[in-house]
Amino acid sequence: MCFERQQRRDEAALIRRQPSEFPDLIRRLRLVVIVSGMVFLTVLSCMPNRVKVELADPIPGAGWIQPRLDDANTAFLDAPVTLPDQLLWEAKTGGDIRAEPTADRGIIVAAVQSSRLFFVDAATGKSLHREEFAGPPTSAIFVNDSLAFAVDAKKPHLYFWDIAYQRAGRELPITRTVAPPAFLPQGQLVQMYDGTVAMIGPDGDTVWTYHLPPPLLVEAAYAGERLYIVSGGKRVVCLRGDDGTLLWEHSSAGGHAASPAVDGLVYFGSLDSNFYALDCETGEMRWFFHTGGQIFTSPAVDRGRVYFGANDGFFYALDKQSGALIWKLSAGLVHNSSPVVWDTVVIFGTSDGRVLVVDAKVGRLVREFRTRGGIYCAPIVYQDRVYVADAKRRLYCFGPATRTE
Amino acid sequence: MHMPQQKSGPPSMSLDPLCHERRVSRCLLRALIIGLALLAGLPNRQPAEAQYYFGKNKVQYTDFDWRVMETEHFKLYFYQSERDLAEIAARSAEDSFRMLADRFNYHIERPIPLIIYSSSNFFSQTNVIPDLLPENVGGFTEFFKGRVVVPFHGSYADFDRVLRHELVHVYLSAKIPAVLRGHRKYNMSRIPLWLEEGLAEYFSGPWDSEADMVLSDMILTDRFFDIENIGAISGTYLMYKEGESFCHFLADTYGPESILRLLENWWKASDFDEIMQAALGKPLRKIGEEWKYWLKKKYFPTFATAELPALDARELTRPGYAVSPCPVRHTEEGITEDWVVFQANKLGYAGIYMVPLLGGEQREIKTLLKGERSPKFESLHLLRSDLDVHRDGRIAFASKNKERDRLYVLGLGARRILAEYDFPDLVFISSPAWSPDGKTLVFSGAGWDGRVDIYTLDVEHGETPVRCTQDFFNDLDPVFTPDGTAIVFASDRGRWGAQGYTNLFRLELGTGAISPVTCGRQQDRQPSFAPDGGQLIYSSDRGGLRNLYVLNADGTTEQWTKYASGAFNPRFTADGQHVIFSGYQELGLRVFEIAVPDSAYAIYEAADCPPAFTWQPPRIDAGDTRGVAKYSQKFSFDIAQSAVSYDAVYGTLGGFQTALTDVLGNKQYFFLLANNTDSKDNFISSFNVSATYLDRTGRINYGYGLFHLYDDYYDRTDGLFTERQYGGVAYLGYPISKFRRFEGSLIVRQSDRDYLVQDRKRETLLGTQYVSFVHDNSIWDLSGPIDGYRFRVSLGLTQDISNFEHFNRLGVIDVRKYFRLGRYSCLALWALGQSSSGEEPQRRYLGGSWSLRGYPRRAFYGRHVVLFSNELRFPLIDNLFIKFPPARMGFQAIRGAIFFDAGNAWDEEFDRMKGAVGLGARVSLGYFMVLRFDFARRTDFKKIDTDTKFDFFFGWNF
Repeated sequence: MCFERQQRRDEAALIRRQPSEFPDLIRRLRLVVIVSGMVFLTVLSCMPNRVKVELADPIPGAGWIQPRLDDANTAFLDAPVTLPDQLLWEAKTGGDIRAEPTADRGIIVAAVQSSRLFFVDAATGKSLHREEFAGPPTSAIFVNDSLAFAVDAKKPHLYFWDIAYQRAGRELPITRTVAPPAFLPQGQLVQMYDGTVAMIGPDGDTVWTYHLPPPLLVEAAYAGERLYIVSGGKRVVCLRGDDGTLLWEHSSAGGHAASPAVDGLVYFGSLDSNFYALDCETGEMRWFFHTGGQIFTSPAVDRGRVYFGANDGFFYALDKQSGALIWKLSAGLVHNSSPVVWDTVVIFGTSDGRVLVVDAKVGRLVREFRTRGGIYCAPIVYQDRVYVADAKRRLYCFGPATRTE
Repeated sequence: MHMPQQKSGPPSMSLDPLCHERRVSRCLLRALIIGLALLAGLPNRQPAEAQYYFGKNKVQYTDFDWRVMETEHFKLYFYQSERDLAEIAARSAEDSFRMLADRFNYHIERPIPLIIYSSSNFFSQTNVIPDLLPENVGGFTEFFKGRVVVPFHGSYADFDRVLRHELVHVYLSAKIPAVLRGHRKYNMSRIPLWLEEGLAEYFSGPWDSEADMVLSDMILTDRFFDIENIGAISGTYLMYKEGESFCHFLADTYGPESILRLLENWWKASDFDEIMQAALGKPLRKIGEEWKYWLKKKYFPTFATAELPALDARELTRPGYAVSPCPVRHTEEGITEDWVVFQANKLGYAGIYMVPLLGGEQREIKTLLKGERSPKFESLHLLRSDLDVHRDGRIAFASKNKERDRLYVLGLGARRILAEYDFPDLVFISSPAWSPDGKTLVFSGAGWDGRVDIYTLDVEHGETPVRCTQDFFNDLDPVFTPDGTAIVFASDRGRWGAQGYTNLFRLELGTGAISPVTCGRQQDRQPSFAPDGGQLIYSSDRGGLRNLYVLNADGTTEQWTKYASGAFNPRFTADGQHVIFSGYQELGLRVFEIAVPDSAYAIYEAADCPPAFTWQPPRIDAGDTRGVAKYSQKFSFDIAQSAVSYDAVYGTLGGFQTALTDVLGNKQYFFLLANNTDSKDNFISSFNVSATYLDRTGRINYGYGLFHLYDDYYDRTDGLFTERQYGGVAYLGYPISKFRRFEGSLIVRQSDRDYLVQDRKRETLLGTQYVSFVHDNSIWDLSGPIDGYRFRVSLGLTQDISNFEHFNRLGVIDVRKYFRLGRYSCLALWALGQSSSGEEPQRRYLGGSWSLRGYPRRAFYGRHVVLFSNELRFPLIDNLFIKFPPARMGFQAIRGAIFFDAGNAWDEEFDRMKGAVGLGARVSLGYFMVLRFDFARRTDFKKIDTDTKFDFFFGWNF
């Protein structure tokens, strides 16, 4: 048996030593490709994926633009509306965007779930910069000359980058965080992570902490020197802003997945399919509205109405004092895109890939635009344009047909 | 649900006329090519095996007239006779889709293909997947094209639940990849099967008494599989219920949103344990402990007031699955005594058995009918159909016979079938029951539209059953009243029927009037009258778990059992003093007997049941559909895979295979492309390509294809040679039944050989015809067949068409029989004979772990082969877990073997028989591989060598 095997090998070797079969171009190319691939993979795996930031100035002071337009998260832009008429540009972002983009200084900043921050020119859609991190960044906010954002990774950090998004600024190592930061008028930072709400002063020191059962997933709302926090569990708390004293607490039947809005009352949706309005002073429930599905959106509040979408496929407008239904619109199937109110219209995205501009008073569809994929993040309004990202890794800009300067 | 692969055949040696010798690196690709070009086309084979040698058949008995209904989110495929069901299914699917979109917070944008069947008998014919479907499969989701396939069993509530269960799989298969894609994470942990099925059960419907029964029994009898060991029940019903329980625990302890949070955090780690930690803040082990403690807190208090059947009743059968017990007085071997006839699954096959009611511990169970071995009794529907025994010894039962069910009457004394009834309009028959005078049978029957109604049959004169109910309600378990003027049956026609609750009703045969007997949000099933007619006993979960209740003549109801698990199928004995029932305990169902109790656990006042209530299952509105069209075949990719391998001697080679199939899987195109060149000179000519078409729409399966193959070979007779073959192939398969088939193939090819060492060429046009007859009714355990028998007879003829000459002949007989000795043991016998002649006869190898043990692999080579193999298979270790940080390994079904092999292969002169005796062990690695360890000593049949040969290899037992 061994002899037969050896004989076979010898015969095979005899065949292979035929002059015409070596050496040949295909073999060489194959070898080059394999070796190159191995080298490439080796290099790639050794590359660091953390951004190094040099420590610089202390936490900046006042002046910021919150993701929901104001510190109370009302998402109400009280400026004359310029209805968008067409798609002006679309840009590839390289990943899904679930957090609300931020806009200022002519730049749109989007936190991409594939662990990147994506910077694009607001006017042209041209990609300005991409930065990769160890984990996905949360919503970014502009604070004075800095861009502040948190990164959720094994070693989470809070970053402050300078306006030119150079790798400079302050970096604060913090315990695991999942909530975007919020800044208060006095320059304090509210950072929520893993069951802790922390107020960090302008000098970087912790002013106070408050413990809530985790998870803490969404940014707090601030109004009247009070912080309003909904936890991923079933609790809603109101803390005094300067010392973190618990003022009141409310227990819901379901958890919460979106930040509250405050405008006289505290408005928030719940995963128990109800939308609630609590008294700001006492936490007493003023009213609630039952929908047919879980609520994953933050509400928007304008002069008389509160708006939100629910996973029963409807978008609702309720009287903000009484909770009475004013109108509802069948739109998409699930709602993760928090609305924004721009003067007389409310704008939101749908899971079936549409951007809807709706008359806020009567619920009539005014404009509708299609995107390639479903929309799971809130739209933003910036310089009379509407920006929105979809699940097909694209950022869109809708604006008027002729732009007035 | 996930479908574990249905194995019924090993990758045995191939009857492949084109392959003479296989080198290591090429043989796998070669097998792939041959498999696709030839053998994948042969009909009704089990998947995941390169050579389809044995195997049971999936028979397309029925010619369906398919239609397609498009709704907002679905493309629903149905046939004309189930049009009503399709409209109900469409509405149910859309409602479930919306509910799950909310629960998963995700919108699936592509239309989902949904295929429905009005009966499980039709469902078993589906070609969406090639696997045979066990009867307990309630539906499945195929992940490559995202097809959902669901049968209807009569209950719309159950159908709704199964549909939602399968849609959860669709959502999970969309949601988790979307989460990963969004975070650019691609190499992450797949959701464990137990959790996936648990989520599917959790979202499909509320926790019910059946789930309570299973978990309660597991906790109370110390048979619970915790998180670390849950793999031991993978693929079983227990896994489903444990998974569902875990989801309820998560929702209860961490909030309902914790489940969604778990899925949304799937990107955070590559290990499931870390994902749990990231989502819930605790390691999996800790959460598992909490779960177990949660279950104990839930069920232990039950034990304070409830019993287990084995502690309260007298056990008549051994552990296993024994159901539908019926007492009868019978004379056996001259002794007249009380017997209990029942259905059971003993050792893998269902059958009908009987056991003496009394007689001490050494009761012998007698076999009355062996089921699932022949097409006549293909399936006894063990958990869906009861039998009944008349006092004169006639046993009525139903069984699947090829396409549809038939009603049978078995003589207890005669031990043979006395009557057989076939009703062309009925597809499924269940739970026949005798009238008191024995002249009429009443049973549940499902028509082609899936609706289940009550029928009666005059057994002496009638050929056509009389339909007693005609509606869409699910009517089950009918029994005659003692005076024979009415029928009591279970149905969902009550006020709570739309939610799936079943109560008892009475049908007056004279007037057709139906009135409620019981009512409430409960499952009341399997009614049976006391001999004097004064009481009606049935199984109900009105108290939470399934127990036995008795309805008295005055309208009061008494609870006679209070078990912490479940009790079913109650029957009074002839004297009315005892009750026989099937009780659930220790993961199985057994037959028990109790004396009629003196007092009841609870007494309920006569219920004021509401009058007849009509409800309708909701249907899709016409405006919500985009029309119905005739089914047209649109092909799309079904599989696509590539492989690259490298051999130190022969270099690299790569290949790609793909298939295009229609939605129903009836028609398939297979394509193979590979290249095994080792120089640029023959790069083009070294392409191996094949294109094959296979049609499995009808009863006869056929296919044809073209191929071009080129490879290097080594043959012990001819030495090293290259061969180019190109031509066409056609094949035909006719399954006679699930167990037998005829198959044939015709291959015409140009065969050009270049004998490198002999320095000669052979170029000729060859035509080969093969015919085979195959039988296989074997059942398997984790290492191979363990019961039944299978055989294959093949004849092949090859002609040299170019020269008008005979080329070779081949005849093969392969017979394997398995004598069951115990649950995991058997005596396996194998006889193989092959003879080939002609200019280039086909030769076969013997030797090695797969044939003649004790000798090296391929030690013997010849055109005549004879082999006899005898092997005693027995269990060694059921489960072996080796835990060492950081990993743990588990092995199931470690089996032992004692064998004796004898055989030889020769060309001209037969030398002598070669023999070997030895011991072996088989270690199963799940459904995919068995490791084989053999220690053998050669023998010349006069003495046994002292030298022990060790062989380690892989592969199923023969």
